Amino acid sequence: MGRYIIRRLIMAVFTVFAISVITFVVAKVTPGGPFGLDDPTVTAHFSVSMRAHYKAMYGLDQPIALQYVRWLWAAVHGDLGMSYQYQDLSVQSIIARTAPVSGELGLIATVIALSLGTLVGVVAALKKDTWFDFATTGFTVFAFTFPSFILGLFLLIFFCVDLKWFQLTGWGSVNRMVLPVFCLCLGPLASTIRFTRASVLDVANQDFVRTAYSKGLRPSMVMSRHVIKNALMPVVTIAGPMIAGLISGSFFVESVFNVPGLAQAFVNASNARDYPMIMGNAVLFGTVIILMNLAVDIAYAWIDPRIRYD
Amino acid sequence: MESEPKELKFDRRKFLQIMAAAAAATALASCAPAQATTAPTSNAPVATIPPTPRVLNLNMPLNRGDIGVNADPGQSTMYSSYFINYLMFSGLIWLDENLKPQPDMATDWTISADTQTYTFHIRKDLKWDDGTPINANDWVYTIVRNLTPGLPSGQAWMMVDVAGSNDYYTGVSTDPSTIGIKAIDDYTLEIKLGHPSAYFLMVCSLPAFLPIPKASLDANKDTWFKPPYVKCSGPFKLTEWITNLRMTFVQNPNYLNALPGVDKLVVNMITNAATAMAAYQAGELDVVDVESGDFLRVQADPVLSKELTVNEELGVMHLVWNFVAPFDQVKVRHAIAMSIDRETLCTTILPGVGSPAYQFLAPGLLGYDGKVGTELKYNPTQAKQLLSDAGFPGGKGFPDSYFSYGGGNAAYEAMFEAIQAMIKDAIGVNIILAPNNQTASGLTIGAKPYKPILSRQFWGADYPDSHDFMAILYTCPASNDATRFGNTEIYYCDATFDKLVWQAAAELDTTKRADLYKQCDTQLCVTNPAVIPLYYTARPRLIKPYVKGIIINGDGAPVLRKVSIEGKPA
Repeated sequence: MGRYIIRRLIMAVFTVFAISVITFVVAKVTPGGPFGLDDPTVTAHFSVSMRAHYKAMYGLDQPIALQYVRWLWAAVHGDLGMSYQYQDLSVQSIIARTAPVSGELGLIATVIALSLGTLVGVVAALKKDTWFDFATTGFTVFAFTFPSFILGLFLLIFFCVDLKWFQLTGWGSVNRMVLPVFCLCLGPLASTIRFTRASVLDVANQDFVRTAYSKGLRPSMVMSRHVIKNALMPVVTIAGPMIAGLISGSFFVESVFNVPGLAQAFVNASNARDYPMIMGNAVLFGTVIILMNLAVDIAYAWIDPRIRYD
Repeated sequence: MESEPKELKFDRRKFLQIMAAAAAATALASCAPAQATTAPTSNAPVATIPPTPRVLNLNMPLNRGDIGVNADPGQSTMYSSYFINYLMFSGLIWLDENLKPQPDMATDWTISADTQTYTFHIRKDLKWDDGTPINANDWVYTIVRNLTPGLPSGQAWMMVDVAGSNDYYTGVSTDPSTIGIKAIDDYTLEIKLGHPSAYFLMVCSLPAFLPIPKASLDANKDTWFKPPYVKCSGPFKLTEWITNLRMTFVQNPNYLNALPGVDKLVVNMITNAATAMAAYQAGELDVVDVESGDFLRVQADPVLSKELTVNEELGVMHLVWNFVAPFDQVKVRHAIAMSIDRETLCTTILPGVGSPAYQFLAPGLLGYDGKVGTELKYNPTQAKQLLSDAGFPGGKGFPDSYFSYGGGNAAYEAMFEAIQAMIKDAIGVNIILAPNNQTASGLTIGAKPYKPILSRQFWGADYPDSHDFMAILYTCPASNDATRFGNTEIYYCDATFDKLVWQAAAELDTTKRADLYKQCDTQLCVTNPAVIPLYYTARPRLIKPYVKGIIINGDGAPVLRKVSIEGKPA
C-alpha cells in the first residue's frame, strides 16, 4: 500500500505539471490581457512606449514558453508571484485568506451532505415505496434540477430582505454561513441520497444478504453488519470529487451571498487576466482534486479488504 | 460462521456513533458564539465613536469590488477608485454640484496671461489626520513621485500638461527639478505648463494632484495607502481594510473643513448587483447603484421610486468608425447613423441607461448646445436615399461589415442586437455581430486584411472640461507614438479637427472657446464623422431618505464631504 501511495504521489506531480502547462497556454492564448491594455479608453492614456514599458515590467512581451519557465522556476521555489489585480498582494496571501473561507463552508456542507445523505438514503431504501421514499425522490429531483443561482436569489430575497433573519454584509459570524452552506450542500446531498439508496437496494437483493436473513440474523444486524458497509462503495466514489468541488467553493454561491472566498477570487482573476492568480488557483485545485482521488482509492482499500494495490 | 477480522468491524454501534458525532459537530458549530470579524489591520488610534454612532453603509460604486493599489491616488484609474481617493485625500480645489471649481486646500490662485503658469496660495492650517502639517512642498513631492518612471501609474498622463513631465516619466530626464512644479515658499505653489491651457484648473481636481504623505511612503512604499501606514487629509480617515470585504472609515478629526455628519462609513465590496440591491432593501446598505435590468421595477415600486435619483454623467456611449471601404464614404456613415433610433434605445431597449446623444460633448460642457449632430437624427427615408447615392441602393452589394464590442455583457448584447435590427430595417444592411472581435461563425476580425468595423466605445470625463472630451481619443497621435487604437491607417486623423482642438485649448475667452468646441464637435460627428454618439450615461441610484447632503455632479461617483445621517432607524 505504501509503495502504491508513493507511486500515485509521483504521478500527481506530473499531472499538476501538465495542468499548469495547459492552463498557462490557454490563459495566454485567450484574447484580452491584464491592465486593460487592450481597451482603447485605457490605452488612449498610455503612449505606445508606456505600454511597452508596462508589458516589459511584467515580462508580458516575452515568448510564452519563456514566461512559463519563469513562472515555473519561481513556483517551485515557493513564489507564486504578485497578483496583477492587487499589486500589493501576493498570490499566496490571497489564497491564504480566501481558501479557508471556501474550505470552511465546503467542509460543513460536506459533513451535512454525507452524514444526512447516507442516513436518509438508507432509510429511503429501507422504506422503499412509502411516502418517505417518494418525498425523498421528489426532493432529490428538485435539488438536481433547480439551478443553485436562482435558488440562492430566492433564499436571499426571502430570508435576508423579507424576514431579515440573515445578513448579507460582513463575514465571520455563523449567521452569514447558514444560507451559503444550505445552497452548497443541496446538490451533493441529493446525489448522496440517490446513490446510497440505489446502492443499499442493490446490495440488499444479493444472495449473501438473503443467506444472512435465512441464518436468522435480526434485520437490523443484517443491515448494519452486511449491507451498509458494502453499499458505501459507490458513495465513497462520488464523495472524492464531491468534497474536492465543495471545498474549492462555488462561484455562484459565493457571488450571490457575498462570500469572500476562493471561487470568486478565481473567477475575477480569470476575467481580469490576472495570470499569476489563475496559475496559482489552477495548481491548487488540481492538487486538491488529485489528493481527494487518492484518498478515495485508499478508502476503497480500507472498506473492502478484497481490494489490494501493489 | 467465521468471526469477522477486527479491522472490518463496522456494526450498527459504530454507525450510530459516527452519525451522532456528525450531528454533534454540526450542532456545536451553530452554537459557537459569533466570531469577531477579522481583526482590523490597523494599529492607529481609532477616533472615539459616540454611543449611538451614525453609520453610513455603502457599496463600492459600480459594484466594482476591491480597488487594490488604485487607492493610491497616483495609481488611480477607475470611477470607483476616484471615489475612495476623494474620501481619503483633499486637493487644491474641489468641484461642486455644478462642477465649478471651489477652493479647498488652496485659498486662491492666479493664472498668467499666456495660461502657462498657475500659482496657488495654500492654506496655512492644513494637517494630516495625525496632526502633522501639510504645505506646498507636499505637492512637489507628490507630483515628482507620481511621475516616477516605471510606476504603473494610471495617472501619469493626467500630469502631461505640466512642463517636463513626460520627459521625466519616460526617463529622458532624471532631474526632478526639470518638472514644472515649484514651491516658491511653504504656502505658494507654482505650476508651469508645457503649452497654453485654459482648462488646467480642472485638471488640478484629479487624484494625481492630491498630495500624499511622504511619511507613509517612507514607512511602506508598497502599501502606504492602507492602515496602519496611511495618513489622510480628506473628510474621512481609513481605519480598516479587509480585502474583498470592506473598507471602514471614521471622521478625520483634522479635516480642513466642517466634519461630515457621519461617525463611521463602511464601503462594502459586493460585486453581485442583485445581492447589493437585496442588501439595500434589507437595510444593510444605505446607497446602491441600480442596474438597467432593475430600473423599471424600481421606478414602478411605490417605496423605491421615491428613493431613486437619476444623475446624468459626463459620459457618452458611442460607436467608432474605422475607415475601411465602404466606411470611408461620408454618405455611408451618415446613412448608418440615421438608421439608429436613439430614443427607442434609451427608453425601450435599455431603460434608465441615459438620454439620446447626437453630439460627442455631454450636456454641461462648453460647446454643447443640443443642436450639433441632430441633422443625423433617426430618419430612415433619408438614410435610404443617402445609401443609394453612395452606390448601395437598398443595401445591395454592401460588403460584410462588423460590430465589435466586449462580449459577456448582457446590456451590450441587447444594445447591439437592437442596433443591428434597426439598421437592417432602415436601409437593408446587415452588420455582423462580432463580440470580442469574433463572429458567431468563428471569423476573427481586426487583423489584416482590414474589414469595415464599427466598435463600441465609451468616453467619460476625467475632468469636466471639453478639452478632455476632444483631445484624447480622436486627435491625431504623434507620428511615432500611436495611442488609442494603435493604428492611424484606418482610424480617425483629421487635421481640421486637430487644429480646432488645440486652438480651443489655449483660448481663455469662454464664448470663443465654446464656439470652437461646437465646431470641433460638428467636424467630429457630422462633417467627417469619426463617431456615432448613442447616449449620455445616466447613473440611477437608490438613496435612503435619512441620508442627506450627498453631492452628485456629472463628474462621477458621489462626493461625501457634506454627507450626514438624520433619523436612521435603529
